[in-house]
Amino acid sequence: MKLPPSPPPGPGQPAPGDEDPAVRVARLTALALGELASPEAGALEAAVWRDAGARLEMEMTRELAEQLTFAYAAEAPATLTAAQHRAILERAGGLTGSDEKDARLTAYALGELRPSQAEILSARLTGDRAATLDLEAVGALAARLRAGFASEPVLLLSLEQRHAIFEQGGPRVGETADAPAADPFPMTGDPAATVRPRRWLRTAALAAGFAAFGYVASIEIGHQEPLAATPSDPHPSPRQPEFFPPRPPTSSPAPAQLIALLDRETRRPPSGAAVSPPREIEPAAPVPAPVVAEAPHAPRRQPDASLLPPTRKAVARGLTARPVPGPETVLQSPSATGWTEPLAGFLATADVPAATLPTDLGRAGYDLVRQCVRDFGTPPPASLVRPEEIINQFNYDVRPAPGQDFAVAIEAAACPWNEEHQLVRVTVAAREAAAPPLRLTLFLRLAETPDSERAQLLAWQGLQALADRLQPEDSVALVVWGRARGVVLPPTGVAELENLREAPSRWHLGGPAPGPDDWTTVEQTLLRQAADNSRNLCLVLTDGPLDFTGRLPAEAAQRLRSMGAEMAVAELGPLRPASRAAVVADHAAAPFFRADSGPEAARLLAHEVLQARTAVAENVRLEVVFNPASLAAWRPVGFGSAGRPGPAGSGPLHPAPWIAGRQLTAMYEVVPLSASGTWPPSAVFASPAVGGSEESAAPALGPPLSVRLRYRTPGSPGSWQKMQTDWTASAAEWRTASPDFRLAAGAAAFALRLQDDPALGGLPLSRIRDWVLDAATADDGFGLRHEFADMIEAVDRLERLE
Amino acid sequence: MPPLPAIESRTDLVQRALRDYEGALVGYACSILGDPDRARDVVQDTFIRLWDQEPGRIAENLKPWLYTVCRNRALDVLRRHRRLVALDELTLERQEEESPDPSEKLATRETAGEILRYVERLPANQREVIRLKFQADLSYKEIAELTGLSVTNVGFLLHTALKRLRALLEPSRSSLTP
Repeated sequence: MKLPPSPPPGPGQPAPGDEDPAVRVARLTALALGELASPEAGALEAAVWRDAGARLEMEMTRELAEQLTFAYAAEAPATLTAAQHRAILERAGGLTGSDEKDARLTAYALGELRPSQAEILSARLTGDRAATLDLEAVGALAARLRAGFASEPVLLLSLEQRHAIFEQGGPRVGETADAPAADPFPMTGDPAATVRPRRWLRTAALAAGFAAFGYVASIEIGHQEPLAATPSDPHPSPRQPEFFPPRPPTSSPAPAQLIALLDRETRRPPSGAAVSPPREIEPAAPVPAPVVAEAPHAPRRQPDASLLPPTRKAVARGLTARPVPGPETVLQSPSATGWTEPLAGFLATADVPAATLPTDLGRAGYDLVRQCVRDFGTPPPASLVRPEEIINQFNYDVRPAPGQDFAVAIEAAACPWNEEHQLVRVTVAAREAAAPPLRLTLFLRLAETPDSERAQLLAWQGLQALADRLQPEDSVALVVWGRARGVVLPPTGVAELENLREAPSRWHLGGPAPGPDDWTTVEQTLLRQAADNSRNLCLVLTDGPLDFTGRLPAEAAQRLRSMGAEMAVAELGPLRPASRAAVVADHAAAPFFRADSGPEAARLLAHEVLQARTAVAENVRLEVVFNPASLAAWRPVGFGSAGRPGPAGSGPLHPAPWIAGRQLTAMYEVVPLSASGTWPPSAVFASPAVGGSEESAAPALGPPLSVRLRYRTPGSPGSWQKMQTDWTASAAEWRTASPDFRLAAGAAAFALRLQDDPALGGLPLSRIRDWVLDAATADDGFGLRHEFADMIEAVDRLERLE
Repeated sequence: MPPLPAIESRTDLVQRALRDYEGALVGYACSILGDPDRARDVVQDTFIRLWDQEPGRIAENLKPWLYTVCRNRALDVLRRHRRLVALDELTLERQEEESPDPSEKLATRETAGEILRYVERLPANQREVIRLKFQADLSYKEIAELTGLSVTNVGFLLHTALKRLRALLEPSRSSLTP
């Protein structure tokens, strides 16, 4: 009870002893019980101190209060009966008398208890069958709820609202008062933000607006210089298909994070010798430039060297430190070539007669394009496009002759975007190793990330493809760890394929991190089906957040090897910076795969995993030599600017083994000496080169192009193998080119279009798609080519909408 | 991989928030307001307010911050307009997700979505904590801060809701267990 405040005693006011006795007692009681407000209490306290009678009354009141408090505390509590309590709780929400314990159990199942509490509860639950069942039921229900919410129809902001977020960033006039009082956390209400320069806000917001909805960009919004130009869109795009949000009409600097992802995925050598991109990088730009909006269809900006990870920075530094032929030095001598103007991007064959090819190409460049188009609704920035990885997304129909380690196929045809040029496809394919019976133990871990449902679908598709390819002597087992953990498919042969096809219905997303016991289960399962003269393989299949800790992967891999088994790691889903799957593969010295679409998942499980990882060659040097007597100029599609241009025979040896069945394809656009008439001139074949020393310079007369391969056979350190393949056939007309050639040319053209290559400015994407569809008639068995055609069509739609 | 930048720019922060939480926030706002259009307006406001935050201070708590502001805005709108439309009366705009195998995806969606019909039969406060826990993946503590309830109350609400759901799902319980 609070008494109404009364003014402190002052001149002319009654002292405590002079006021009405009832009021006086009430005020003294309130003072004794601590119920007076402080100014009044202080004044009354002083007055009481001067009045002995009042002091006595105060003390008596306090003593009585203490006695009462003590007495009530000692009184037996009067509570409702258990039945009454239960009835109230049940009416309120179905609780029962034991619900406090049950709620704690639920919190435990949901991972909400503190570690110490969880440990105690876990110990108490040991042997409690009913509680264990309850835990499992809660876990299963939680997983089902998560899946339910994940499958809920997605409601998104409209296009206009999404743009408005960036155009109206910051508090709008008149809305501050309407804001909820509890914009909740201390971080709200930053006064500095509300007074920042509006021009800066607008420009940043506009720039960001074009990079909206997940568009991968790293705009330096903190830079407060005004823009050189401001994009505007007086004619808003019509409503677009929902799956493909609008492509920004301009591009942004390449995000360092995505570059890092690409580098991680491709695992390029630190030297970057064979994949150096000298013209992709502008080294003389240490400070990020202000955001400059470009006109639609303007060439995309190149990545700033300061945004690049160390590896690429080193490459950039290294390349700029030595004289590398650049566009400005290429074909500046019309008299020598017969050309009347320089060809940007081409290398004069007389100056640069050879290039080496890397042997460790990945496919992350293709993944990145698909991820940007499919998930972000925009192609990637031009600087992130890696044509060589897009071309090598596909395998081509090239196989070595029996007894040969390699086959080199060279095919040429008229260049479809420049009738005076030729396209040359070089494919190097290693022989396939004999595949012993497969004893595959799949160890599946799918978390509960937003991408997990897709990863689950990919795993399902991969297993279906695997079931189609199994041989009678093969067997597969499936161990999962998640909400349900353990063996969901014991070793199963072809005779019980239906069990394998239905296995996905028995796994669940999420769950705690795997521990040593889970590995024990895997090892036991693997041992159950392991056999001599078989390939005993443990494939860890995950959607990214592979939460191994410590030395577990390395130790597990070592144990598997000691049992005569192999280990591999595969990741399902998009490229992501937080993924630890590749790191785990590194620690375990295991091969690493990834798949982000149904066709890729099928290829992963039904082809790549099935192939024996036998090394066919090591210390490989792969060179392409151009003959200046035939070719005026050339350029590679991808591989940075020129692979590694230089004298023939000077390229590096790649120590990494070349695995059986692996292919590498490169595309070159070449310019014949004679731009008109029959090409190549028949004179160049007057003295065809046969064999010869690879260290020698390109012959003055001979085939226009040769591929030289030098390698060692594993296990035979002294035996160098050399192989040279010359291009001896005439270039075909485009219409008679093989389906594989059309596919490679389509991949090259698509990549160059994404790079805003001026030579392809007028080439419609629909035509490129037609080439790919032509090639898709020679099916790869997994649908990869059709998927590629769909991606080209998606980009075409985005461009047309733009 | 080189270390990522320690602090995001505001643009990066808003882009990340849009990418990661747009759909979930509209769904959450819609569950409060029962109106997809108003829900979108609320979420748009939420993201606009995000521009005023210091990325370095908010990045760690982005999700709870977004949900809290979204909730406050939604309740504010609800108070002002004094109307509540039951969710099941709505015709929601659906955005088709990519599906390499449409028939499989459809089957998955039917099975997974079935449980949401039971969730709709729960009281509003239980529905909300269920959504915040299993859709937004917020912790008890974050839900408590967001809703103004105590952590214990959140625990009881969730437990009660799960218990009710289990009872509702009892006939098909066999399909829940692995």
